[in-house]
Amino acid sequence: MSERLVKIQEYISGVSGVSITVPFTESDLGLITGNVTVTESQVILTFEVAINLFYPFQLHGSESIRFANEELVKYNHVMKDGLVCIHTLHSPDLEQKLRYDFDSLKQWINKYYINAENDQHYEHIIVPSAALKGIESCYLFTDVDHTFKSGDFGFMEYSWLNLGAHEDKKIDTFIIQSFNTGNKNVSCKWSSYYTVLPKLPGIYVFLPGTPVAHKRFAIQKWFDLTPSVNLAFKNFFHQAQTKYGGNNQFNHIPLFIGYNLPNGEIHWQCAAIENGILSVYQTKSAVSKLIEKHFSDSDIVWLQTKNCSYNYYFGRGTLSEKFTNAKILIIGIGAIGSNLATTLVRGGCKRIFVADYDLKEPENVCRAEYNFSTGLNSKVLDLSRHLCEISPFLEVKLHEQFTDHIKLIINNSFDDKIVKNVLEKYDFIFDCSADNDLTFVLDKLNLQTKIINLSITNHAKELVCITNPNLYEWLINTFQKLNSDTSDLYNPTGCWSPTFKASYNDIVTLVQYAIKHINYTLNNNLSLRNFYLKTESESGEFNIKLNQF
Amino acid sequence: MATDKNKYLENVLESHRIRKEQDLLNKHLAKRDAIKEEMEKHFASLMYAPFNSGSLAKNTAVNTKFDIDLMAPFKKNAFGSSGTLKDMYEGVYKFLYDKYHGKEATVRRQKVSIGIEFYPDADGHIVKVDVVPGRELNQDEFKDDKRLNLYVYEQFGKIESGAEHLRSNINAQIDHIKDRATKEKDSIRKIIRLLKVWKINKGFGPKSFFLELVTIKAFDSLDISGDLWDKLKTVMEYIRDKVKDVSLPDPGNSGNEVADTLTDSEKADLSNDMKYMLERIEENSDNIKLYFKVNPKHPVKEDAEESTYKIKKDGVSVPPPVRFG
Repeated sequence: MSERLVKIQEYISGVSGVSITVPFTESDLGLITGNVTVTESQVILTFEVAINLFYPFQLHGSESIRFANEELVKYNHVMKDGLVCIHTLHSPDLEQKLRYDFDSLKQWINKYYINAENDQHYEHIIVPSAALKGIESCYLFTDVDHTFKSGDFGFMEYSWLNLGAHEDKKIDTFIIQSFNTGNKNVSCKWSSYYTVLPKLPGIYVFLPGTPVAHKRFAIQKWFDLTPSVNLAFKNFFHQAQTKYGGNNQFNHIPLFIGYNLPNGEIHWQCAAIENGILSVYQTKSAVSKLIEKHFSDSDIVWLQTKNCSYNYYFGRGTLSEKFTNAKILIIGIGAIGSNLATTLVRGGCKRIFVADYDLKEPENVCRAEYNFSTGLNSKVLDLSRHLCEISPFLEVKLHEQFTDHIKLIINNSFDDKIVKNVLEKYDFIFDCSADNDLTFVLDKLNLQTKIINLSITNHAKELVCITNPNLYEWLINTFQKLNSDTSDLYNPTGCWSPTFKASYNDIVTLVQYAIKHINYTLNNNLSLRNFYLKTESESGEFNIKLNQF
Repeated sequence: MATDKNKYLENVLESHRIRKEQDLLNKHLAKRDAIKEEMEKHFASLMYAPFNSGSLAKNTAVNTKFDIDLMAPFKKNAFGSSGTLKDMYEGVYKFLYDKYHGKEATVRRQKVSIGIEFYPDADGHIVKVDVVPGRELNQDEFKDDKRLNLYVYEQFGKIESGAEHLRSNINAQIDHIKDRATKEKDSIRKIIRLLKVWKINKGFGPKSFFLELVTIKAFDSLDISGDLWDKLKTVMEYIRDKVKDVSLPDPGNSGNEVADTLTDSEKADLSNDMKYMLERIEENSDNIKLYFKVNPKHPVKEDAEESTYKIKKDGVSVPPPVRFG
């Protein structure tokens, strides 16, 4: 008997209200198992306990101790195999950790076994997803402008997004594109970058409730669907299976089973109609002589689905709604503008226009949001693609000659109302171009739109943010005060135009600080003032000081 | 070289003297008189004689914005025995809109007034006049108590839109500020004018009436002495520290709280305006020129060559030093 086994047995014996009923043993692989009874508030329950080699540490965010009792499956937070999900405390000490874990188990007994409490937040049904021919699948869905009724069914379309891998498994990811509701095609609210992907056919049915047995566990067999669907759907299913089910490149066609959550949201589960396997078959009734359709008694292979609607996609945090609901123009997408753009998109912004005449070259990659792999490319093309790849809800527009047109119109005294009308359609204009002419022109136009001009000094010592009105004058004055050192610029061989010296980290640290400040100001309904961020390292430590005007 | 703040502020005031824009002022006065005449003709016995209530009347004006306010006092029953303040406001708006809008000016509803902005004339001059309709509290009492109620079209600080705003004795308000500004012309008047220069350059900010009263309050609350910068600095510090809770009773009716014409967040903003201005000017005396600008149309001698921050008179500027994106 190993020292670890002896200690575990001894510590568990010492936990109040716990008795060992089957002594613990250790497998060749180091898994320690045994049975215990736990007494809590005069209730006595038996559990199989399994402790793996990682204990008391967690493994991939999960506890490395298991308490299971298959008879408890009807209670909340118990998996199909009887495993009780507990929330417990961290401790690197074996004895203390065992005490914590048994305490958590007792809390579960009190809360869910004795008091039969229901949690405030909705727990999704438990779906045992599986792989088909060694490849897992996951379908992402988002909101639609449609209310499904119980019994609705029809064709739908989906698109393959990518093949990924995790540990030793491959994973195909798909997105649901649309549902045919009989008289119209209801599109999912992805951006146009995604809705143009090649589409494949699938089918859907909308149920009156969740497809479950024992409250929370997805039904196991195809025939378990029978009580929830009508004859018309069975006929439709049979036809679809016959038409598409035999030869699909992903080894299945998906059946999406939809239902409403208590909060009214639509949720979809996906059952695979496997190639060559009949999920529905037909027979001829000996009595009525009619052809009847039946679900088979084979197991359903469930595939993963994820609600990927805007609120879930950005559920962990967004920028101010004043940004996310805004139409935003970014002029100049070099080091500052490109980082700003990706930050706005990751912050949930949905409508962005990028303008820059420049070519992305390899030397841009080290400090802007571009990749080497795309080679030489227009900056607006390169970045807009990158942005769309970040968010499936982003509509991005782009233009290479945008600023040229503005300057041309203003400089030649053409009707500046045209320019004003175009620019005032935006809620925010970020000018990150460091183009003094453009600042002059934008200032002169006296736009209602909020203009935020961001630029940086050599070595990223300061970042300056100037807003309208009086853009141009403030810009001149502020930079004159900063005494920017331009004696040490970066002059690569053959380069006609030197640039500033600063790394990605130098620049992005300031850009992020500036965005944080601007976002805070908007969120708190404060006035956005001109400001500059000044880096200081003279005292031997690095600091950033916000100086507002 | 550091900026001599006193000398610079005196230059700012000098460049903003009304008499330097006499021609433009005359045009404002002529338009104001014309509007007054038209209103009297149209509303006749329904109103009392319109009178001036802007900064020109209070001796606190600057030449970049004349602040021509024309108070239009109406009789209690001018818009019917059950006529509301809104009826009055809309009635005046309709008259001015029909009379001027699209013909020679743009007419728009403002917080408590109706703004008339005339199209640029041959010299490129733009004349703006704000008409403030007010109604006496009781029939025929205005001539005695000088009290008027205004209609609040847009939310005005803490005063909700659609509310009645008791403006009380307008003449008392004007006289109060005019008296102090005239008697203490080297202190109160100069500071008020400097704060107006700052506000006009910024593009938005509290009503002039608020700045006037808070400046007087600062002078009444503190021993403000020293040179011009010392005085301005002390008033700015007072606004920074006190504006969030200061009480500014209306000189025409002490029950009327002028501080309520700003919301709490507008007050916080004003406090921060002062805080950051003081910090930046402390950091570098040249920064005073960012906030208090010499009128580029009338630079005083020593600023004429360099003007404000090397901005030449024609408005074309020296490009900023190298900056990057």
